[in-house]
Amino acid sequence: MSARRLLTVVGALACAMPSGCTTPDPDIVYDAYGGTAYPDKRPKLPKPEGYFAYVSENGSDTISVIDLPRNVRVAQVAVGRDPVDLDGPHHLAVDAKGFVYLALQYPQPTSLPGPHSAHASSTRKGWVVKLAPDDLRILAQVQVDANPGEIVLSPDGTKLLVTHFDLQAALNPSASAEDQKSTVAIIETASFDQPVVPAPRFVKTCRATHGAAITADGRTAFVACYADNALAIVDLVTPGAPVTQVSVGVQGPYSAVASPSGRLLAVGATDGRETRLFDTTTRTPTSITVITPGASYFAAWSADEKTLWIPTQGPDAIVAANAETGAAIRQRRFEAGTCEKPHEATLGRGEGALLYVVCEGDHKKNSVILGLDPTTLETKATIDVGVYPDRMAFTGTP
Amino acid sequence: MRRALVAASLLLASCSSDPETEQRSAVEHGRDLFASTSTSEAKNNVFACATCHRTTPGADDRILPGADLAGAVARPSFWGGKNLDLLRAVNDCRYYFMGAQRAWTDQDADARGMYAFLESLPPAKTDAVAFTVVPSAVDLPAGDPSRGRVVYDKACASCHGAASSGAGKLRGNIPTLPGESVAYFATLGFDRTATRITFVEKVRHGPFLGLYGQMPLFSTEALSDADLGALLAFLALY
Repeated sequence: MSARRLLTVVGALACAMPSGCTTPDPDIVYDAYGGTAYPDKRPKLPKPEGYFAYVSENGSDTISVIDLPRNVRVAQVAVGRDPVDLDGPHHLAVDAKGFVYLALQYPQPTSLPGPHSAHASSTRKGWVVKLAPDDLRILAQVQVDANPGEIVLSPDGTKLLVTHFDLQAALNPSASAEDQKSTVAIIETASFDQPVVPAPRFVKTCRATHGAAITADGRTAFVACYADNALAIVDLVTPGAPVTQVSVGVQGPYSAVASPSGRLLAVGATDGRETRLFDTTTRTPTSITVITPGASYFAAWSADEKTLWIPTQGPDAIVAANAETGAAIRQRRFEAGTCEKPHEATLGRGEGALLYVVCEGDHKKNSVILGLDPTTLETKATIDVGVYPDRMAFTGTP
Repeated sequence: MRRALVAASLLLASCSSDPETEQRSAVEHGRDLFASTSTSEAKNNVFACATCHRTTPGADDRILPGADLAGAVARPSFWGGKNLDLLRAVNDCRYYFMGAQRAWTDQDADARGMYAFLESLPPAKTDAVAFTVVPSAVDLPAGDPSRGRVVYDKACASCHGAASSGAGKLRGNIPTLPGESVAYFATLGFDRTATRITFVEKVRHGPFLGLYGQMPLFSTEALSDADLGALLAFLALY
C-alpha cells in the first residue's frame, strides 16, 4: 500500500467514525458532601419522671405518650409506613429497654366502585414495626398476615406473638376448614437487628385468632379463637408441633389476659357477654365466669389475682369482679360522652395506681383514657388521646 | 511512507483518547440527580424529582403534585405530617413513584448529594406544606372546559402527552387521555358517572388507598376541586 493510499484509508476511517473522533463525554466525579446529611430533627420524646405509657391510636396513625404521674399526654407521634394511607396502628408492646413493637393492620380503604377499588378489595397484609425509644422512628419492620389483632411479647422479651383476626376467612363458607383458619406469627425479636428481617414463622392456628397470652417460660401461647369458641395452645419453640384446641365454653372469645403469675387467663367473650377464667396449668376452663352487662373486652388483674376489672361495650361499662367467685363487686355504666366503647382496662404500676380504661370513641374523633379509682371506679383523671385508641402499655417504674 | 505511517498513527491516536474527568461539587451532584431519572435504579422509571417538584416557588406555572423544595431541609414534616424524616420522604417518592427497591441511607453518595442540593436552595418555605388527601373520591360538578384545557396542559401533559393523541407522553404504557382510559373502563362496564369518579379517584389517590400504578397524587392544595371539575369537563367526561 502506498503512503498516499494509507493516508486516504486512515482518513476515510476517521471520517466514517465520527463518534470516535469527537470529544468523549467527560467522566464526572462529584465531591462528597462533607456536612451532616439528613440530620435527625424528629422531636425527641420528653422523658417524664417516673414512668409513662404508650397508646396506639388506630384511627389517627399515631402513638400518644402519657406521663402517668401527671396523667397527661406529653407527645403524639405519627407512626406507620405509608405516607398517605391509614396504617391502622393496632395494639403495641414495649420491651424492658423501651423499644416499641407496633402492629399495623391496614384497614380496607373505602372507595367508590371503580377498577381501582376492585383491586382494593383484596386483603391487605399487615406489618410489625420496631420503634426507637427516643423518638419512635422505625428501626425495622416485617410483614405479617392481614388483620393483625394482638401483639404480645414473651416475658424475657425474645419472642413476639402476633395473631390475625381474619374474619373474612373464618366466615367464608366455601373455604376449607384449614383455609378458614388464621395464623399466628412467631417473631424472634433479635431478627429485627438483622440487615434484612427474616419472615416470621407462621402457624395455622384456628378461626379468627385474636387475644393471646404467653406463659412465663416463653414456651407456650394461649390464643383466643373467636370463631371457634375455643383457646388454641401453640408451642412457640418447636416448629411443626401440633396446635391443640380447648373449648372455653363462651361465645366469641375475643381477649385473653394473663394474671400476674400467669396461672389464670381472663377470656373475654364479646358475643357471650361474659369473662371466663382459664387455668393454664391444667389447660382447662375453670368454673369461674363473670357475667357482664355487655360484650366483654380486655380485662385487668389485680396484683393479688383476687380482682378483675372488665370493660364492656353495649352498654359501655366497667365491672369489678371477685376473681375467686366470679361475683360482681361493683359496676359503673359510663354516661354518654364519658367513655365510648371501652376496649381495655389496665392497672397502673405501683402503690395507689389508677385503673386505666382505654375508650375507643366513635373511631372518627379524638378520644380519651379514663383513670379510675380501682375501688370506687370514680374518675380521677381524663387523658386526651387520638382517634380510636386500643392499647395502653407501660414502661418505666413509678 | 514513514511520514504517512506517523500521520496515520497520530490521526488514529486522536480518535482513541480517554475521556476527560470533570470534577463537580456535591451541590451539582444533587442538582444533576434532581433532573435525572437515575434517582431510581428501576429500568422503567421515567420520573425525575423535577417531574413533580419545583425548586423555587414561582419558577414556572406548572400545576405539580409535589411541593416546592426550597426550604425543605428545614421543614418539620412532610407528606401532610405523616412523615417526619426528610430522607424517608425522599425514599417514599423513590419507592412509590419511581419504583426504587433500595432505600437510600444517609451515607449513600447520591442521597448526600441530593441533601447538599436541597440545602443550597433558598429557605423560601420552612413550614410544613399542607397536603390534604381526599379520603373518598366523589363526583364533582363540571367546570369550564377552557379552564380545563389549561389545567391539562399544566398538570397532565408532561406525563400523559397531548390530550387525545398522547403525543410526547413519558412512557408508552401511560394512558392517552381520555380515550385509552375511557375505553378501558368501558370494558369493565362502567357508565359515564363511574368513569368520571374513577378519574377523580386516580387523581386524588395516585397509587395509594388500595390503588396501583405510579401516578403521583394531587392534594386539594395542589389541584382544587374546581380545577379538577374543569379538567373533567375538558376531557368530555360528563
